[in-house]
Amino acid sequence: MSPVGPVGPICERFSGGPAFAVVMISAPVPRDEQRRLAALAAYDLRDRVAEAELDDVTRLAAAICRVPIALVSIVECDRQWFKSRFGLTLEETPRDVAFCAHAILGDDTMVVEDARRDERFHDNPLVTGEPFIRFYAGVPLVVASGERIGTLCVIDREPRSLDSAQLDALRTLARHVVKHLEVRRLTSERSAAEDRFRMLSDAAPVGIYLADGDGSRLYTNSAWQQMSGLTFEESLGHGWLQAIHPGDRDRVLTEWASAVAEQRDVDAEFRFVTREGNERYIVSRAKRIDEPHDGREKWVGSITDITERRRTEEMLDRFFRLSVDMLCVSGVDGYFKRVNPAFTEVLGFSEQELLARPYIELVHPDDREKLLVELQQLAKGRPTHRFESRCVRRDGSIRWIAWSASAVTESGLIFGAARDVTSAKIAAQALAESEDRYRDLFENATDLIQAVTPDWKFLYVNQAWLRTLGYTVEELSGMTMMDVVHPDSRDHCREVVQRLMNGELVPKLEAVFVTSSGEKRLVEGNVSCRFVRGRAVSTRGIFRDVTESRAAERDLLRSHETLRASESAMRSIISSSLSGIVTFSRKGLISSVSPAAETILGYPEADLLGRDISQLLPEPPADFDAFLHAAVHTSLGRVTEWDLRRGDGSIVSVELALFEFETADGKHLACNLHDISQRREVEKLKREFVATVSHELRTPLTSIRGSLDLLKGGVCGPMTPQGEEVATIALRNTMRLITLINEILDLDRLDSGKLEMYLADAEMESIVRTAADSVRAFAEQSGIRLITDVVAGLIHVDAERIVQVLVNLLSNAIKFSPPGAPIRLTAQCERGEAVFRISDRGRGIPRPYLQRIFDRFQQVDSSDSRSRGGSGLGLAICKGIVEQHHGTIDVVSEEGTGSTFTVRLPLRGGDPLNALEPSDVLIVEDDPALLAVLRKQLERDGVAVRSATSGREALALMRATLPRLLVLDIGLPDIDGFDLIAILRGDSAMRTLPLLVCTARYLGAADRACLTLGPTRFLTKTTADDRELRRLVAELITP
Amino acid sequence: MKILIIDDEEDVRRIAHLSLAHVGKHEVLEATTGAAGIEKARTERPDAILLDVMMPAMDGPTTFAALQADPATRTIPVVFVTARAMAAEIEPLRALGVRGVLIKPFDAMTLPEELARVLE
Repeated sequence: MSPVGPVGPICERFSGGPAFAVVMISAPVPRDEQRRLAALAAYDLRDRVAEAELDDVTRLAAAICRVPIALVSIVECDRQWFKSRFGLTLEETPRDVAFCAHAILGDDTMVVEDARRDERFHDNPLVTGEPFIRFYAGVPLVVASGERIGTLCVIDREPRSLDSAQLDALRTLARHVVKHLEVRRLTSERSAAEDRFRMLSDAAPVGIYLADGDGSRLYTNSAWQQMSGLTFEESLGHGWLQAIHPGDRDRVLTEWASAVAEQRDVDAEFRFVTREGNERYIVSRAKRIDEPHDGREKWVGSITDITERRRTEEMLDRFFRLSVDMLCVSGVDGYFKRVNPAFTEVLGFSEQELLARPYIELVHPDDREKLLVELQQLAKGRPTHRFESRCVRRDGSIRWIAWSASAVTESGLIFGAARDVTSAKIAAQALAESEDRYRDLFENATDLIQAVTPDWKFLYVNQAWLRTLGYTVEELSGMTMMDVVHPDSRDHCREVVQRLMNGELVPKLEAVFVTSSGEKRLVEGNVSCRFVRGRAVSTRGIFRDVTESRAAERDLLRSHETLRASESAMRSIISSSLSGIVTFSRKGLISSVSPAAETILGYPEADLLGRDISQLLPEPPADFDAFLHAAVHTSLGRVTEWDLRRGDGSIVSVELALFEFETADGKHLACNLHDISQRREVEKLKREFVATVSHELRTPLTSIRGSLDLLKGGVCGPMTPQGEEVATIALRNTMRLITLINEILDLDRLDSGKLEMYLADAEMESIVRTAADSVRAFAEQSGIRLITDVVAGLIHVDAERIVQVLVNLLSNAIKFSPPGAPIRLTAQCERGEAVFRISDRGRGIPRPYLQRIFDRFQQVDSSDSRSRGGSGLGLAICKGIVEQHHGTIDVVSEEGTGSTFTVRLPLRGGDPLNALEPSDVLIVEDDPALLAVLRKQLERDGVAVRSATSGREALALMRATLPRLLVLDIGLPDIDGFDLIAILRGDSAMRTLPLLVCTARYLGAADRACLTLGPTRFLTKTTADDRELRRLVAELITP
Repeated sequence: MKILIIDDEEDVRRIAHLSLAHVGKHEVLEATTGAAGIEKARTERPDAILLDVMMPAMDGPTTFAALQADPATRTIPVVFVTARAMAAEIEPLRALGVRGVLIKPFDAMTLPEELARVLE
């Protein structure tokens, strides 16, 4: 085996040939050997086939260099073989002994003048044995891709050298060899491509041809020949034109020429006439080939036989034009693409007119919505069947059209067929109406129907007549109508009948009939007269017994009067009220404006009557109904603040109480307005004042404090003890003033919402430590023991502010504790909250003060402010800060034993609302506006919810995924809340579900008992605020 | 250290001066307006500047910006002194790039200490 490593995985090791005892140095394998071998393979050198041109080259090389041997050597994976050899019989050698394997490593000629003196070759078997090489010169064959595939080399059995002319000639010859090989490669590639093209083209079902720029055919495939009926030879040159229909020939040639001139694709449609005389419709398309090999432009084209398609189209077109029904094709853009003559006939528009306008404009405005719905269905792929709508003709008359249509979703086309059904529609309507009348007459058994001759004899009466008036048919045969009519009504009846017989129309007859038992019945009805040949033959009447309903009406009238009286009382109350009152309907239309309200709103009543209340808003709401609904929901029975727009465009702030009242025509809403603009203005002024003054105060205080500091610190010289005492007092009071100003500023910011919170995660432990450290000195001074006890926990707060709260509470505790008493500060986690407790054993807070202790300027003893310091603002600030953190603060205290202040803050990650999944809370509420309000309130707290608008939907959702909390409105459209709860109670999985019942009305204990599942809470919609909802939800989902 | 106080309030300036000179043993310069302060900073090259925020005509932030714009004064550390004590008011001041912010009323006995801490 060779000492050289394997040259690549893709080649077989050379194993034939003479076995040399090899110790010489073999050529290393080039780095890019894989690429080199791939390039070599592309040249398809066909081993051992002699090529005269190459043999000429080797002969010439030997002659020029005056050597006996010249070779074209190809270096393969394992061997070199000689593509051409002159003066040598050996056909190949292993690669590891090949001189050429060395020569291909460099770009230039490798010359070995005496192999025996060359350490690479002195023991090479080709040197020591046949063919006894002494001299070697090899030029690498560098192909187009840069690879060196072999060499042109000359060999002598004697040492020698080459002069530069010889070397030059050798290089030239090597380039010639490469060029020869390149030409061979290109030729073989092209002929392979052409073979493939012909094979494909003959197998193709479409006709294919190759043409010159002047249209003469160079090639046609068999499908082409089949369509045209020409043979291959006949089709060549301009022979193909014989197959074209004479009527199309000139056009085809002209089109060809102009397309070629403009360098674009040639598209043509024409007919072939076959030998048998059949016409075939053909479409043809030709494209220019970009790289012609022989310098002539060429065009490759294909033809398709569309005869069948064309015939089908023609047939369809004929039907389209002939159809009595209206046929159309329209697009998604809302315009017709095609309409048939029947269309133009029925609608009276020309085809152009129909195509030029959106077809919806043809439809009667009242039917357009219906049509749009139908079109949506169509777009979803549901065909329209016998859809009826009215269309407006060009002359403005209306036709009923019945449509059937289907849409092809891919193309976006709608195919429609329609028929004018106006006359059928009218007939059907007329029939339906007359049937209705008939039914009214005879099936409505409560009406009294009668026919009477002009001399008042009965022709017939119906069952209701007999039943109501108590007569039998037999009795009537001996009576006249006048026997039934009460004497007081007789003249009136006679007069009406007389007028009818004279041909007048009488709208309504009212009369008193007498029953068989003598009772009076008040009837009301219509009477008509039937004429035969101009003579009245009978009068027909339909009456209704209105005795009872009239009585009821009278009662109603009376109660209306009462209502009207109370209404007018209310009106006078409203008009004299000092606060403004505006009343409006449930739809928001203003029905009255009191004089005081006129002043507040800056409109006379007349300008507002009948307008909706959005007139009064600074910005009209996008959806008025939703706005009204939500506004009523949030404001009914409560006092809320609003900004309203006055008649002159200015804005007025009002306090508003909304209430409901009832009059004869139903429920109304009224709001009581209070102009609070001035109050707002004052509040704003106050805040600005406080801010300015507080800042202004700080500047002189800086000087005062600084002076006292320096005095007391001895910077201005030594002080007497009295002097120092006085300076200390001045300094202490200065500090009090500074604290007071700071607190006023804090409160002001809390009020105006400007107190910015820098929220971050903080360790409870570090907050407690910081707070304790800052009061420790004060505690020690007062002899107080400060005990802290804290568990680890993370809260998301403004740590500086929470420390401020704790320091404030601790300072208070220290101030009010006797010396030596302990104060305990603990921090724990309870039910998802961080709980801080500050307990002292001080004097406690008297019960009456407990309620107000968190209000401003509240001090249990007014002397405290002097003796203990403090502004009375500290606790109000604490409360404000804690509430801004969504927490609570409260106090438990007993006089004489001490107080405990408790601050609760949501734990970071421990807030139960944060841990909720969207499927955990299910809201069941049929009113979309209220649902939106509830959803919004919860979503603001980061709680995503599911919702259902009916009991059935709720059950389905709950059975799919069990929620952790059900929020239920008890008034639902299908199953009401009580029933829903009953169903849930029967289900073991849902029986213990936490439940929050939202109700608009007060529920008694019995109702509440029926509305309980697991833990249950009740929320009255009109009075609840956001915080309560949040609190209840959090409570219910906490295990 | 040589410290320049820029403040329109004479008394405040004086107190700060006494504190820094006698408690802190610093050399103290004064300026009554932003413009005068800038001029003095240029000529005297103090080691630090105590700059009042609320001043008529040219306020603290404007003065600071001018000091920063001038290569001669850019490197002098500046400390704001303000009567507005809220975090919401202090943070924007800090964000301007000053070395620190001191709050009025300050403790005159510990002012030099505070200043040293801020400048560290």
